Amino acid sequence: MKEKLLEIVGLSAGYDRGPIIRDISFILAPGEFLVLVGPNASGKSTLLKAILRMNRIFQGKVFFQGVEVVSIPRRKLAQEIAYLPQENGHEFPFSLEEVVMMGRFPHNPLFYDTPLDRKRTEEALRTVGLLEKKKEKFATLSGGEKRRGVIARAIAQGSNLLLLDEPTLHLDLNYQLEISSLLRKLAEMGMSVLAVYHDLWLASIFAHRIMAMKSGSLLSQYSPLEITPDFVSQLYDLDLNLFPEGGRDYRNRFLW
Amino acid sequence: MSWKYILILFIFGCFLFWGLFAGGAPLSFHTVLETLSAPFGGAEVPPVFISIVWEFRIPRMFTAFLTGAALALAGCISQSLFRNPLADPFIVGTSAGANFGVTVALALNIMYLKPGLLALPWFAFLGAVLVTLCVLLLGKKGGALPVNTLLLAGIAANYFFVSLSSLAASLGRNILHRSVLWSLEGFAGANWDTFVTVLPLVGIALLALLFLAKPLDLMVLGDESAMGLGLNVGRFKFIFILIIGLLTGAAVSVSGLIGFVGLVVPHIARMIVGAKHNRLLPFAFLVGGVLLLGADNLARSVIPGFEIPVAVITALMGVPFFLYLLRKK
Repeated sequence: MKEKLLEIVGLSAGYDRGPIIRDISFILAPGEFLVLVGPNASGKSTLLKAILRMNRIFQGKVFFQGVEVVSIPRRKLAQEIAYLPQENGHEFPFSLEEVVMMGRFPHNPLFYDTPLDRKRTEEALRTVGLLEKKKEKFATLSGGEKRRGVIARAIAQGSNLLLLDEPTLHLDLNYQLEISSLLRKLAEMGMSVLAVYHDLWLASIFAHRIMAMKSGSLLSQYSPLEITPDFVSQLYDLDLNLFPEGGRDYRNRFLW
Repeated sequence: MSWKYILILFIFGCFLFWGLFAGGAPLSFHTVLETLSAPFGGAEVPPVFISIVWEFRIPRMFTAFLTGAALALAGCISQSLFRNPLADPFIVGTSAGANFGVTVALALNIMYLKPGLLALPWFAFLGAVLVTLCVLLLGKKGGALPVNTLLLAGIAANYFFVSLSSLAASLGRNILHRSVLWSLEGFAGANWDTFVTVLPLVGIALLALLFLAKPLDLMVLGDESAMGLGLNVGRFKFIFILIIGLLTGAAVSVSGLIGFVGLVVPHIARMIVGAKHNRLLPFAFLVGGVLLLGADNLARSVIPGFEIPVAVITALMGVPFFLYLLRKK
């Protein structure tokens, strides 16, 4: 049987008005890079939040390492699962190092930083290749560096599972590739990664496995090789023939 | 790091020294020195000098310092909580609340709670804290306290209590006059009693905030990131807003409405020591205290024999700096 880090069974979750995602079940293995794709409002972000019990769960269960997530206190949960939402920036002059060090909060919420906090922060910065920029102000970094910075924060958090909501959003192509390959590298290092992506092409290059969501339900789970024009048409209710040039181009992208 | 603290403490010392001479009664350098040593068996000086220096000027300076420090701390919290470096500690409606409290006291003609205990400061304080609680209740949305809702609740509470005060003031003519006078009074009435009233509150807030420094750091990241890092965001927002209410309430109760300290000082402090709150909060505390102490000294020295309201000084110094911050973006 497949190893389970995260197991989700028949999960329906959403907000007070009612569930947005329905009857979701899947398993995430240790060291796996699983990408969640699907049109807007299909419930991808809701699923990530439900795993961290940040919204309302109507039915079903989430198990992390065999323990039901509902029974784990929030700070303990943060030691196990890191979450990077679509963050909107701020103008406060924190240095990169200080931002990464915030990842140590679940381990040390007191007002001083321990030597261990510093050590983990250094390691995390080294992993994402930003050690030499640690003293720079976070707000002055490039888009790609900022994204690597918050990933470093999640690494410093010391968790086994990383949840990301559109980590490549608003980034230039080079940074999109850079971030995606960094996530793949983290997975190879043993951290499981579950990320929401918009770009099927990126997802199919870097992910171990792709899950598609539509209208709150899981369509199916695919290997990257199964991302075909038919799949794209079905997921987005799209008739590729309507777009002779673009559609053909899109076909080519997935017919290697 | 430490030279910054040495510098600010040096300025603090200079301002304390300056403040001994500032004020209506022109005391010479020599007289002040003699008066300072008098209680410790020094030279014989007229009791009125001792009273001026020891019972008015010195407690007044420390009260001004604590008030500035309180406003600066409240400003740091507001700005991080609202994730806006231009937020003001009165954003949660405390100024309108304090004003309302004072109006109520004036309308009921309560001047003393008991003999020797002035009523206005306490009514101001209670008004400020009451409105802060209202804002917390209004801002609540399904258990969470979204920043936007809080902001709007603050605005609504502000308007509501300002209107109530205006209503009272229009019914009783001299209430308006007296509440305006009160709001501009500054530290003219400060003595050791005022100092001792503010000290525990501000002291406890400073200590508490050192333990809340990291949660405040996380607040700047936004609710979801903070939650993902294991912070109980709703509970901490509640605590922080309560602390803002207590601090600004205390400040307002001893000095009236002093603007721009809470807005500008966190900025200056962030420029010098960065945004991380375990360094920012203690430093802003000192900068806020020293700045308001200086402003109050200035208020009583610019025109001999006359006191300019200290709120006027802080606004005249604060507005250009605020505009500079706006432009810089």
